Amino acid sequence: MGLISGLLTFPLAPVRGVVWLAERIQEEAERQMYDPATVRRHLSEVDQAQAAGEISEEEAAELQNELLSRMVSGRGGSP
Amino acid sequence: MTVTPQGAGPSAQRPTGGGLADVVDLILDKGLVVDAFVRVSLVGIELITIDARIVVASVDTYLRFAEATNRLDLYDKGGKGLPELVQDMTEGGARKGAESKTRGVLDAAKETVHDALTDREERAEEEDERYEEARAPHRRRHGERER
Amino acid sequence: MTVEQEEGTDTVDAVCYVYGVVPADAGLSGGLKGTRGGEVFLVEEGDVAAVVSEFLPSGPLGSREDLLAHEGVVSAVAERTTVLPLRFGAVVTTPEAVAEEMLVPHHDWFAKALKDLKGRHEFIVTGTYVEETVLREVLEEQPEVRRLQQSTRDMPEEAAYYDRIRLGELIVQALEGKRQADTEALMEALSPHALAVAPREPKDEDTAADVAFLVDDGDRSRFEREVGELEQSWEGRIRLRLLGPLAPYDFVPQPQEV
Repeated sequence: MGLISGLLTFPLAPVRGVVWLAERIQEEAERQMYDPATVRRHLSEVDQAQAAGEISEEEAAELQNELLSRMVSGRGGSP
Repeated sequence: MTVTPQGAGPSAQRPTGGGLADVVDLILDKGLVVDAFVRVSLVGIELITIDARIVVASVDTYLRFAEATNRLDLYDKGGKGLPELVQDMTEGGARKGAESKTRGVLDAAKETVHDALTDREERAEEEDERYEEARAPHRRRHGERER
Repeated sequence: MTVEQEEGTDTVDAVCYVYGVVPADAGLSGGLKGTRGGEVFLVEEGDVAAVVSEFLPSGPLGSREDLLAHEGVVSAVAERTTVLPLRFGAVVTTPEAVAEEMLVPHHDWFAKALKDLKGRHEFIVTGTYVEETVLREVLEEQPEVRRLQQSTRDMPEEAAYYDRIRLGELIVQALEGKRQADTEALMEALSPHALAVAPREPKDEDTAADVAFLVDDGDRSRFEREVGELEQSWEGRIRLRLLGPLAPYDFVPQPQEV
């Protein structure tokens, strides 16, 4: 759903082939994934899920560490 | 920090309440920056960073709100049945209303359902009139409800 | 100001994590642990002291544990004394360097800031919209939104794509207007019980308000009561959340303001 809307906002260009398209999709997905606002929103959702008892503290911790690792400068770092 | 009374059940993730997202907002974004005081002896350790988090609405955001608005109309002939409606309300309440200082999540959901039921009766009788009425329908509803 | 240095067993030296600055006569609760389990202690200089702990650096700082450790220390200290909180990740070579480079040259500045913030704590009030309620408001208030809702409602998802975007855009704009109005209303209701007010960046579209308040300890009950009343009057439309008492993260003076 997000990918389709993302594609439609790209400047219209002649189709450049599957590889080009796949790379654009990957970029868009990554951009959203590493976007600080999105990460922050996901952190909030994890808090709420934990507070509501939907996930355990261990599960929350795992999700949170994964989310936080997206915020390390250079992306590849692991806490 | 305190959000709920100490020892309150599952909503107190930490001894003093609050969630990791709150912590992130505070200590990554606020407080004194050490660089303003220390130069020579500063140790450059790799840190998580949080860029300026200005909310930029995206196409996805617009579509989400459009969908939420379209789901609002409950009084179509083909609309949701009440059991589904209650389910959605409860889930929505649980997802969004995890923390409240003085009210439980289920209370909030129940009141929303009550509002919907009250509205449904009114609307069946005077649908067109509603759009022309005074603003702030929520206040009107609450005014009419017994407390 | 003697500091016990850890015996280094390898080439990596321990470094000094700094959490905040407190009055020198502040007492720390014993056994307080900080980043990577290091024992928290004070580095004193004149009338002020830095709250620090030592650890062996290994990899980036920013895990869940690192963040919670930092906030845990500041919270614990803020319960007992005035603290000027530092931003996450302040690492200095040694405790001696903390004293020499940070405390000595800026001693009077720290002392004054601590004095100004004594007996005061931060509270953060966050409001979140009950989506259904405000969406109904927007529908009632804006004929164009009504029109688009009706025209796009029954069409399959792919059709009327741009109409849906337009609909969403109008709603987001309307919510922005409501957020401004509700933030002002919140500040107006609570400011009489606060010494300072600092609006914060809204986190997402459902945010109705996000404001930090500096509240004197003597005004705290009145402030909390007012929040409770606001919560009741906004019932069904905005959910309120209160965080605090916190160290004055939003109210520390900027160094150039000396």
